[in-house]
Amino acid sequence: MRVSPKNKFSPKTIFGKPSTKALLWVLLLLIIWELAAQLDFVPVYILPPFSKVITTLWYEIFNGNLPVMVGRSLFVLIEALAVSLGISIVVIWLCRKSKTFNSFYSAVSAMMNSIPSMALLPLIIMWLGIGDIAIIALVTHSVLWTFTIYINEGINAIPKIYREFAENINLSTFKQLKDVYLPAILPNIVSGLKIVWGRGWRSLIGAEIVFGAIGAAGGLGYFINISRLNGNMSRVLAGIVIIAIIGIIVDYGIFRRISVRMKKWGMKNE
Amino acid sequence: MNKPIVYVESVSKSFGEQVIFRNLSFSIKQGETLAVIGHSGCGKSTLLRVIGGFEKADSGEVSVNGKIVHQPARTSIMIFQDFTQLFPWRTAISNIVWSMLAVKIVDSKSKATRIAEQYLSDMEFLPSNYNKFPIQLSGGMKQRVSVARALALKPKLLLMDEPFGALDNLTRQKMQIVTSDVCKKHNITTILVTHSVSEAIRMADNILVFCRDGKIEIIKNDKYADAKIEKLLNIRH
Repeated sequence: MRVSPKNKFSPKTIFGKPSTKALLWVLLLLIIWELAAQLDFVPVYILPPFSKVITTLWYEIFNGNLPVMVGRSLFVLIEALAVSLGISIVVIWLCRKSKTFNSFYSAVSAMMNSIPSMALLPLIIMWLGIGDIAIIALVTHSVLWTFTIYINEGINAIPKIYREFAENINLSTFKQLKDVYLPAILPNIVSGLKIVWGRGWRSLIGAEIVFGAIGAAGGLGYFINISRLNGNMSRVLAGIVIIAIIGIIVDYGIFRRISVRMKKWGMKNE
Repeated sequence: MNKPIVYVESVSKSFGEQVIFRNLSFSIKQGETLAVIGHSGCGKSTLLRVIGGFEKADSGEVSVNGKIVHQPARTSIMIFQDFTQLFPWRTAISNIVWSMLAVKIVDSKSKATRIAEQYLSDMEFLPSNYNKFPIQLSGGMKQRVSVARALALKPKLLLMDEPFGALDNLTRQKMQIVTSDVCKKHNITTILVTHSVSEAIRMADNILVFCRDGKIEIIKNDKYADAKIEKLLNIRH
């Protein structure tokens, strides 16, 4: 019996895809939003129509205002992630070298990981002021503890067989790290980054809003806060939309691509 | 006549109170295969790990190719039973090519690829599978790549820890023949740990038997070997 090939352009195939379904739900929400605002169910100063938000978004992108703010936020976030990565490498190395340090760090990370970064905000403002260093410290706090836990778990889970093969062929320490351990813990690195990226991004925007309110300028959080003070709701929503767009780009553009590649290798990240 | 390349001299190993072997001595000539056979938990794999430098002996010494073994070295490459020994992020051929380049056996990727292809072909590994990742390969195919990778690293001694233990019967027999032929072709000395008498008889020149009574005996693989092993292992009783 001949089975006819599945038509990949049939409506059933297209609308059966999870990504198409997600897109349709978002589209439905946007239509409801637009209609609610256009038909005056909600006052425009509370919820301007989606079309107006998009117009404002384009305007703010093309006048260069929003790209500068987004660039600044991302730059600070990358700085904080780099600081966290640097500290993580040193801390993990120390944990592997000394059991005493390992037990000390386990206690500290369990304690610190449960403290929300916003709870540390008053302390950080008193210690470091309201500049970039304070934001980096805050984001580092929200990133570091979780990240080191993920990496440590990854190292513990490296199959003994890989270590013994690397030992067997007398690989240098650098080559063992680069060519064996790093790829072996990639699923944990990706899972860790996926979690800490979200945590860091939220802390960053939160800190920029608070710092913006008390005088520091710059960043996407500041853009949203200053728009609120000016009573410009479509700018506030444009800022929020751009946060969502960046989240989707990072998730689909980076993390999902790496996950797909790892799936091909039979390595999965949770 | 070939000279011995592996010397095990008065080697003892115990874990706490449990003596695994005491004052064990033997030698293996270049190109020969020694099968190590015995019941589960008798110390076959421990002996292999001591010879490979993965475990330290309590006393005595092991030398391979004139050098005393203190730690794992590239002269003795180990192949495990576990199918996960290949790196999953590399394709079959890339696992071999990378290993050769990492230990600087060759200086160019193209040369390493040519040599890898030769060993894979010796192991009867189909070219259409060269660029597949380990997850896409069957257990037998993975073991073919593992043996090819080990041979490409030009070891003096191949240490195989029940390499075909998890394969089905047909694949297992095929792998025994192919691996034996390739090791003979490249004149590689081999120690094979197995719990299968037929595998030991099919592949080995000599057989080291961990006897039921705790003694260790080395017998020649002749037409009486089968009966001798059964007697030493007390299989029929």
